[in-house]
Amino acid sequence: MSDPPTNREAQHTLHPAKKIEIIVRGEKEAFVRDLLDESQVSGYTIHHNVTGRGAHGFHEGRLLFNDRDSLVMFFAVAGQETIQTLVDGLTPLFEKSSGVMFVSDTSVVRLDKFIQEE
Amino acid sequence: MPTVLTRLTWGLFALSLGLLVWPPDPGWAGDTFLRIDGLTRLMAAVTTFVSGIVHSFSRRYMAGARHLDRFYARLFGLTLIVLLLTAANHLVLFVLAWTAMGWVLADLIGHVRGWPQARAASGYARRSFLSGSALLAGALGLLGVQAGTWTIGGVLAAVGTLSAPVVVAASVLLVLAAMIQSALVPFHRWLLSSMTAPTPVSGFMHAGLVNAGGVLLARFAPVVFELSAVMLGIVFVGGVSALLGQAWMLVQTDVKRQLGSSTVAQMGFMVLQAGLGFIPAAIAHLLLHGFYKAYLFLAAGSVVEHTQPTPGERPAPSVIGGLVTLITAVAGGALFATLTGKSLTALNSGTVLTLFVVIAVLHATRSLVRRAELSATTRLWAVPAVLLPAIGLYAAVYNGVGAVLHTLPMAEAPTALTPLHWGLVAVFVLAYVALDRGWHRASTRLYVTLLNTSQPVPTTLLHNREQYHAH
Amino acid sequence: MPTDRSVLRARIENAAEYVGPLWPLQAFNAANPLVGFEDQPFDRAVQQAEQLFGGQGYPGARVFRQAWENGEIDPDVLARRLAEHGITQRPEVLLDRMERDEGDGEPSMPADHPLNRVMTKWLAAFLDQGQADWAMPSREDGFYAAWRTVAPYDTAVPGIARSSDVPATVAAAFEEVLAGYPEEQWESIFAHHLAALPGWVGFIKWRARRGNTPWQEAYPISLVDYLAVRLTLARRMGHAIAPDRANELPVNGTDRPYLPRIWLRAWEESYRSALLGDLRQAPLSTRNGASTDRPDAQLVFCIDTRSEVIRRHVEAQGHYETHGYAGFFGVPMQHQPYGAEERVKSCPPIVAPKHRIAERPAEQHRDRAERYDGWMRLKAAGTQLLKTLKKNVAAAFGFVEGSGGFFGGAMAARTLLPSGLFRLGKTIRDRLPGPEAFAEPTVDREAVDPNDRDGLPVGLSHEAKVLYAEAAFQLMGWTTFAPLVVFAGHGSQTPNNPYKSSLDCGACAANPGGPNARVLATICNDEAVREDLRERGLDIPDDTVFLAGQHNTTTDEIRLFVDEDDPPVPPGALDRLRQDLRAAQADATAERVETMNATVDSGRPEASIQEAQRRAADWAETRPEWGLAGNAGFVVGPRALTRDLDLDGRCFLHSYDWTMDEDGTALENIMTGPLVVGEWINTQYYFSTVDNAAYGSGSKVTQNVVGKVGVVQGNGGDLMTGLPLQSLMADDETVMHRPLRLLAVIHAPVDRVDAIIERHAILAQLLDHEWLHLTVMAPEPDNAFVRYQPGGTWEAESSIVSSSEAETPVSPGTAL
Repeated sequence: MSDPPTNREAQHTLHPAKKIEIIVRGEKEAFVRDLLDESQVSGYTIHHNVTGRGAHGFHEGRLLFNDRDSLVMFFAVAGQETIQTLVDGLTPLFEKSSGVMFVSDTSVVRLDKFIQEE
Repeated sequence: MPTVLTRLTWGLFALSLGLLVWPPDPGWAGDTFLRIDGLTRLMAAVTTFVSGIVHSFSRRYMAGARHLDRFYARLFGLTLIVLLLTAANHLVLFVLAWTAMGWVLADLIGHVRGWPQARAASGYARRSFLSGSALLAGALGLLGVQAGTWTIGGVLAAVGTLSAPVVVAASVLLVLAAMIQSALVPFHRWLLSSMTAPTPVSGFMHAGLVNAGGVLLARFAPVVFELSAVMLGIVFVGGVSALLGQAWMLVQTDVKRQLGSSTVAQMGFMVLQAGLGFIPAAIAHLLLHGFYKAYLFLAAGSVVEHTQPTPGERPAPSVIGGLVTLITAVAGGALFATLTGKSLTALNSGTVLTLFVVIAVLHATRSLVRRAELSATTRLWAVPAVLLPAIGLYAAVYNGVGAVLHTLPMAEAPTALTPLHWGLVAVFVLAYVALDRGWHRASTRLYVTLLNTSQPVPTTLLHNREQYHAH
Repeated sequence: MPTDRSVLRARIENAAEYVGPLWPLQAFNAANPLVGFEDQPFDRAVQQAEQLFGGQGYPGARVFRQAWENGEIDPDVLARRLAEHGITQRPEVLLDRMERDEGDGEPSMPADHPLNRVMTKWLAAFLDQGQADWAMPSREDGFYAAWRTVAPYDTAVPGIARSSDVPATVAAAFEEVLAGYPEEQWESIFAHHLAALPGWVGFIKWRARRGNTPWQEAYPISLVDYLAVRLTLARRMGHAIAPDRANELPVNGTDRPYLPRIWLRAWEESYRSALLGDLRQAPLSTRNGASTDRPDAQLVFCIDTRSEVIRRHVEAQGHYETHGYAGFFGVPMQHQPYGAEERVKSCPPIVAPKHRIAERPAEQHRDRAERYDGWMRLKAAGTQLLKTLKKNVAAAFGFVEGSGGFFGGAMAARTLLPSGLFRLGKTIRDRLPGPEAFAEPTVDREAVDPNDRDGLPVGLSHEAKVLYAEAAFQLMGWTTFAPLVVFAGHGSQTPNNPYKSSLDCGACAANPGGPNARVLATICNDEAVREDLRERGLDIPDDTVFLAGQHNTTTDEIRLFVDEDDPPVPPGALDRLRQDLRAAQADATAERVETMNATVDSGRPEASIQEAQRRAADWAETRPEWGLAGNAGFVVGPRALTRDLDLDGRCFLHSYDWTMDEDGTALENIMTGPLVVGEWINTQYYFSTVDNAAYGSGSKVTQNVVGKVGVVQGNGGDLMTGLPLQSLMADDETVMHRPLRLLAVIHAPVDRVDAIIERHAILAQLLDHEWLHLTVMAPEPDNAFVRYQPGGTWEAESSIVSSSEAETPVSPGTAL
């Protein structure tokens, strides 16, 4: 992806970054995937069948025969700007559909893995 | 009522078949109003067959539909009108039958009365048909007044005595009327907007009623064949429709309009055959096309299948394959010419007909020879197994039609080959090669033009589904 | 992706909620056309949808009159419902009033709509899946870019002389058209333009989000593209960008004492009393637990309403036990039929496939496979030959002449001798056995092909096999296993029918369920799987053999997939079963032909079978079978509850034994899976019936298949959605499908059901908003019926439902 770092020290330094966690109904998984794919996020993790309780009621995780109504959780780390794009894209969505997102500060080792050169 | 009318139609078919096999005594075969000749017998048999199929098909297909009696009454009425038309000898009766045919057909296109789009399609078709009737009335009126007789037989016998301007005027009017009825370019729009008709009506329309244009030309062949310029004109309008209709077919995405475009092309070809001076060929074509198209319309629900977006890969042409193909094609053409008693050496407009057979054989052979997944032996026997019965059956129909029509005046009037004929052949060969090589795909303009010129009348499109009404 | 664009995407996603997805005809899944409104109470939702699409949300007066005259609406129930709203007129008077209120329905004048006309022209061209030989150019660049390429030549659109006259990208297009409109207004603009062509938009929605098809991969399209093209066109063609009344989203409806609403409730309640009255007759002794004595065979059918009929008749033939389970047999798979390129999803619309199952020739039957392949290659060559000749610009004319005679003969045979054709087809299949006779599914896990598009693993891991087998027997509550267990999927047989897939198994994404049945049977015959099941307390005897089969719902024939050369069961037992299935077929078809406007000689048992077979082969038949028409109930419980009842093919039946499911997991999966799918099917039938123009696809006789994927009426326009008239109506006047919202009856303790609803927002939403009704049959102590009330309360009713009796609310878990 990028040249080997000239300063080997950089690999072991903790770099500040933003972390976003998004929880939506399975039905909106494709929308969030597209959003992440088209942002500068280099990778993300998905958990299916998440259990939780929210304003729209309880969602139970262990469903065999319904992927649409079970909860999906996305987990991604990126730079401030990218995270802002994601937040902007999700805010209107949550006006109509159930779901939440959390943004927090975090630190990552090997920053270049998560944030591509602009 | 549906049961009774269906049985009656099959009864009529049996009667027509009987007449076809045992021709009536010429003594009672005609009077001032009606006359039964080869064309009448042939068209009666074909029309009642297709009509019988459509009647029987509709017994299940239309089951439970409101206004079923009205539907059957019109279907059966239309059958009778067509029979009357083919048997009419009096000019006025002919025009009346022609007008009634258009009127009832327009009614059936708008069979679903509560549906605005169907009414719009029906109205458009009715206006087209009425213009056609007016043209026909003009032509026959002119002929009647000039010839001083009001029977078709009389007029045809007197053609030689008429002045050239009269013949030209009458011919042009007749050809225009035929073009409207057979939905030739530029009068194709009523047909491409007629899909509001119940499917069986479309089947009957494309198998029977558009043929009336060909019947008209056949009936008045001595008039329209009197001047070779008119014949060349017929070849031209037929050729344009044949080419354009087939090109339209390429870009259609819905099954019924695709079939409609194909009908425009096939009717063009049929008229072209007439223009070449081969009435039996035209009639054979219209009846075989009728079977073909009626089948495809009735089977229009069968097109749903799983498909893959594979751009057509064409295998590299091999010399041997090409040679085999060419030899087979020429042999096929020669076989057809021999079976139908055409001269293999004399060049005339009949050669053009044979050339189209050659092209079809050529294309069929190429497609089979190129099927790489079939074993060589399979391909070896598949080619004759497919081609021999097809050519044989066609030749048999062709000869049969020729035999039935032999009394028709001017049934066969081959003309000399003119640059127009050669140009026509060249255009089709060029189109064949261009399509095969995919040259047409380079022109976006051509694509859009073909799509736009084949659109139905705007008010017949159902955009707001709330307007749809099933009866 | 710039911020603006992500906001735009989200606004479009929100606006698109109003339009339900539309599946292609190859896999016509059932779905609620108003699925985007399910977060609203039913009555408000249909009012909103009416504003948006102009569709009716309640049955018309004619339908109510039919129900009233047939005695399907209990006069007492109706009177009580009306009285609640202070209405005291006679029902006949009210029917007349409703009819008057509907207006005389004078059809509007046909008008051109240039924007829709240009849109539908290009949508049909772009979304075509193989009908046109010469497809729209530049499709691989996506819909917007492809349209931009053709636009300069489109004389129907003014002012575009070259492509550069149109914004180069989708983003630029939106910038141009949305200039001057604040973000708050975007959603209403988008909703307005999406709802203008709900058919095509629904199909794009399916293709872009759910489809994952090779077509979408090759020629991508999204609603973003659609809106970019439409709004750009609207601007050029002088059409309004924003709806007339700016900022208009469908407003909330009001609660109203609306006559059709009251009548519908009364009709639903009448059906409910009748069904509960039937269920009450079940002998108390057999209500709890399964019987312990061992039947000769157990047959598992889909929960589909059509299974109810055949199950009754199979049981009547001997010592047989039948069960209901979702027809995909719990295996979330993608299926690649033998010799086919396509991979079809074969699980419910709400489940994502997790395994790919292909069909490979069995080692011992290689020769059969080769023979079959040879014929299929020949057939493919023939089909290809016809197609290329038909469309060739110069060869078509000679082709028509050479083939016309044969078409004439075929036309006569298909029209006049459909029964003969059925026998001919059977003879050919006997002579040349199809893949089911020599191929077997790839049930075992295979290495993942790294070059594969969607990367689904082929076959199942051992753990997955055990899971699916265990789930099946847990959900159905099995303890005993007969020597013979048959998993019977189902599929229809109907030629010349664009809606064939709507008659196939809804749980298999509108495909035949046989392949899924084979997979589960193979799993259950696996010794290693049985070993693990034994550890989990499911003891399958060594002599039990699992077979797969398929129920032909058009002819009611049940075919067993058995290797005839090496049958896994004693031939005697197999013969006896086949004989009984044949007898059941005769009885079931005899029952069904009576509903099909058919007259058959009732003295001859074969007559009804022949009539059904004729329908299965007749190209002119628009009503080959009734599909799920009539569906109204969904019973979850042991077969003992319904075994002696004739439920008239109107109920989904899911086997369940509450005593075997202490933690409620099985019931939870039934309620969130099959029950939700049942609601989708039920609402599709409901809305297609109450407004066949807006939510159905109109009469088959004027339908026209476009792009091989959808149907338009007549010359074209918007795609039609939903089911055709002939699937719902016995004739133009009489409904066959009674439009009632689904009533679920669950045999389980109330607190268990209540806890499940509490845990699943989707269930609470469907029930609270009355898209679905629920009554629990509480086994302890006395099988009393308790009704779920919107809002989450329960209402018990005393043992006999009498229309005048009062119902008292109770809370769950107390005195029940």
